[in-house]
Amino acid sequence: MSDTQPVTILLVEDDPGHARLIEKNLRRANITNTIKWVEDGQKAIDYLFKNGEYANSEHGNPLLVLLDLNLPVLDGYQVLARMKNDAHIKRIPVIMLTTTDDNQEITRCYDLGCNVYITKPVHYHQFSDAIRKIGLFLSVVRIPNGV
Amino acid sequence: MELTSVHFTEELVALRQRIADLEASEAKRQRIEAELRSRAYQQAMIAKLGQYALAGAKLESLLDEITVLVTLTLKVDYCQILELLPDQDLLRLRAGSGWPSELIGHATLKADPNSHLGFTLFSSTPVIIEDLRTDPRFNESPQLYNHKVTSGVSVIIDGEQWPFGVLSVHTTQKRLFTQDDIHFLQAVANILASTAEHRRTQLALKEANDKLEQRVEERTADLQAVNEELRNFAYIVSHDLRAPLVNIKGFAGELDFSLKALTDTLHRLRPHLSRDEQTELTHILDEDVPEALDFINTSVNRMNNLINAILKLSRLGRRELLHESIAMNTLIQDTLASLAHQIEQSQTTVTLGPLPDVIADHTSMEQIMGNLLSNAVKYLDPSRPGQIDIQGEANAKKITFRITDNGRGIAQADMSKIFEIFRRAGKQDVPGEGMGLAYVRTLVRRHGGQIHCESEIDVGSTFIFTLAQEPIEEAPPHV
Repeated sequence: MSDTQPVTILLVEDDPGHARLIEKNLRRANITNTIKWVEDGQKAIDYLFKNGEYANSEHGNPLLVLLDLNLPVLDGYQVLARMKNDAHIKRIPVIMLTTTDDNQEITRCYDLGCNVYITKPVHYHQFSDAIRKIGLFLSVVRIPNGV
Repeated sequence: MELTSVHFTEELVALRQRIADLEASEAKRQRIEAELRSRAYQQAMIAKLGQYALAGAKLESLLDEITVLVTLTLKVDYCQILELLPDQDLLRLRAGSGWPSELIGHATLKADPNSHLGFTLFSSTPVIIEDLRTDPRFNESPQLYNHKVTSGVSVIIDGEQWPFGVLSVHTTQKRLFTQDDIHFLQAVANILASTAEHRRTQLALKEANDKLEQRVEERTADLQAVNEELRNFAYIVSHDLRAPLVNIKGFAGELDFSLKALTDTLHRLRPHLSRDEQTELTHILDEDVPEALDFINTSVNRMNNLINAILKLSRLGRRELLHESIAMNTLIQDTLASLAHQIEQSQTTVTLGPLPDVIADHTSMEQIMGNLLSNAVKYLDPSRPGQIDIQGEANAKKITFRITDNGRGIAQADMSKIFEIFRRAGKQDVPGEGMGLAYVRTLVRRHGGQIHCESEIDVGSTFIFTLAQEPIEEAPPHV
């Protein structure tokens, strides 16, 4: 990834430790995009739809949203549903992150239109693998933009 | 002429006498006929009422019917059925003919032994009154005089524990009631008594049943709520407990990364340090920190396994069951096939009785049988060839399976804990997380069954579990 790429990754994660680990591993996977971190679902919606504290912000749409499932205010499902209801926002790829591999949860996320679902594993190397997969995914989604 | 006249007169007298006799006997015959007709009519009425009562008519309409029929049959002005109220000191006009309708169901009078109706409650024979005003036995309420009540008969409607009440008839004109009339009234009262007693028993029974049902429903609802709470609790706990673990494990990994980077850097600086410092540094970098990280990792892994086990248990409790017909013999054969290696190694003989088919969730049955059979194989006594026997039987309500082994057995003291989570009994020489039987119990219970174990140490164990014949319709649990 080059520094000239202006796009950001929106990370929606209420646990600061998880947010930090995700960021560290994205960096370790050579992903250099700006990472915008918000800690609840409402802030994620505000950022994406330029409401509330982001009403006057001029940021562009993020390249990717990393979305935790268990969030305060609005949970991951609600954020995902809101995103997929908007004609423009729905094009942004969403990667769901959660602590469990519950089939019902996974199905529900895919039904709502998430692109990838990643379980936050406790095993560190698995976690890194998962994050690296996101890196791989990022290089794939970058191509249509021709950047 | 005179003689003739005398003769004629005598003949005339004789003739008149005969006519009078004939008339008398005709009147007598007519009276007897009328009596017979009346008796037959009364008997027909009794039969009709009896049938009506037996047909299960509502008590209220039976009472109304009785008052009307009695009034018509005995040609009286009033007929009333008074019910003795539970505190036994009031009689209420339950049904009546001849009385103003607003009194029916409402009017009460004291069950006073000085009144003829109250007295009837204590009398085993019908109470007959020629003239209420002059009868020295009773002191009546003026109410009855207002209605010009003069003659009457009243009989008790008896009951098992206490009388139902009183049936009585009254006339406004003075009347002498015949024995037939009185018998008729008594017969009606008897029909009424047995019907009322029957209703009373039925009501009591129904009330008891309703109460019981209500209590069962309440208990069931309570239990379901507790179950639901426990399931959700396990789910939430395992979700929320995992989040901090991700951090502990993750940052332990970060420390490990940092340590490696640090070690590389310090390695270059090492020649500039004193021997003691070098030794200390080596000790910290190569032993102390890795040891600490190792303990953190091991503990996190263990904690993670425990949480996974709880999560699995909670999922088994929440998963939607798909009931289908299962050939248990086939299912067991498949399970045994997956254990073939261990069975062969332990020289185990497996006997399998003809098993009843069940309607159950297939995955659950696989898990139940898989756990029980692999336990049976796992905990065999290596000093003797293994024997495992699987039997099953069905009755109208439940299906019972027994899995018997000649393994090491379970001590009596351990019996209660084997079905609990993370609990393992006996020598801990075989790997296991201590969750198998907890899963089995959860699944058996979800199929409306129960599981228990009979065992003797060094002899073997039998696990017996049941499944309900009718699949239980559970409300799908929600999170």
